[in-house]
Amino acid sequence: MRLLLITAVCAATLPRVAPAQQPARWRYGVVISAPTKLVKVDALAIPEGGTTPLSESNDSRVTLGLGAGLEVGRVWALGPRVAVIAFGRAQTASVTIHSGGGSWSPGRAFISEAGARIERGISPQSGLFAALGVSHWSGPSETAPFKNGAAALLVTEAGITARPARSSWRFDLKANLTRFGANDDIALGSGSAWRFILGVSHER
Amino acid sequence: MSAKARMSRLGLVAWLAVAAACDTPTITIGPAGYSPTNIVPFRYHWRPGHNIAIYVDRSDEPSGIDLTAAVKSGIAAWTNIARLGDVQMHVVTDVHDADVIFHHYLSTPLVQSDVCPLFSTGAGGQTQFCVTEDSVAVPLEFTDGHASHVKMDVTINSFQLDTVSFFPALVVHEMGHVLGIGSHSFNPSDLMFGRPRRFDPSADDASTLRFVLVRRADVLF
Repeated sequence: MRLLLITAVCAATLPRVAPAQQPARWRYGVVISAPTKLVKVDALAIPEGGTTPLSESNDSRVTLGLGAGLEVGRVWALGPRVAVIAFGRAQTASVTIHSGGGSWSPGRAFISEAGARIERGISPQSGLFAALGVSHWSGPSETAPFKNGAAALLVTEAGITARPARSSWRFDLKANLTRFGANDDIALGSGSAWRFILGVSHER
Repeated sequence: MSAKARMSRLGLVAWLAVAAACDTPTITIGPAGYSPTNIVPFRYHWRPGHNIAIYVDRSDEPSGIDLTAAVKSGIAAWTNIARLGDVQMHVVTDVHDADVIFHHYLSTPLVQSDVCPLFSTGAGGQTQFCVTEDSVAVPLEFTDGHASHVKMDVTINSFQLDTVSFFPALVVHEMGHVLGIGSHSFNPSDLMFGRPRRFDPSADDASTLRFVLVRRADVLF
């Protein structure tokens, strides 16, 4: 009976420990990302009798399939409801090219990302976060955006995190935006690719 | 709601607004440099994603030329202009694996067609294929009567060249026809000009092939 009482007192005291005294924690988990469009193709044609090219609709594009990967992070509490996380993530997804009335996969994309994320609790079980980082993409070199492509890309990310009560497991839903620069060699205009990522992580 | 919470939500909304304004990276495939159908009256190309297998028949090869080397340089030149990985070719050593046969004018043909008999005009380069009236590409047959999946037969007649140094240009030019350019350019500075004088595709050759490849074909090989 006495032992149980001491345990309860310790648990009640835990949130009041000053943030600086809270040790940094590790967070590691898996992520899956939804299929998404990576590059769209704008095909131009000169209409009969005309001289100015017009954009012609077509179904050409490069897409990323369902992705899977691993994520690891180091968490520092800045306050009772605010934390900053340094994270790294490695992910892979199949690349599919849709062009000329058909589609095929030339291989897989490998995406590695690193960044910093700030997280704020909106309730004991949930929070919002935003992140900034860099990513490196590699993949089938015969197609855009991998052909003669730039390596380090800017990434922004935001989302919502949820943690069941008294659990060290955490579920994240992230909207990730990767900025691709222009690549004149392959007439690729700059733009951003969206990825929606679901993450499950364990914290200790 | 506290001012701090309001600011957080405002920040998130602003981020989403900025993000939504960002467009997907876009590749622009320009208009064709010239009409791709001024010889062949329909658009054709290979099945998207297909890696074209080329067999090089070097029998009866005249001295001083190397058809295999010319084909390999053509593969590199045409592959380089692709933006979506839609030009894929490789050389095979077994004719039974071939989609396309390149051979010299003097060599005995390896394929024939009962549907549309092949013939030789004696031109410097000649790319032949067989398409039915309902736009179906018919495979050619081996001359021993066996079925094949060869769809195109390319004859190179180096005797028609002013100088043998333009032999590779002729081969790379015929590869343009193999890939889907069913025409000749009227500009002498293009590889697809009737008497080619360059060894790789010009900007107009490249844009013409890209124009063909990105669209649905009337005939698919």
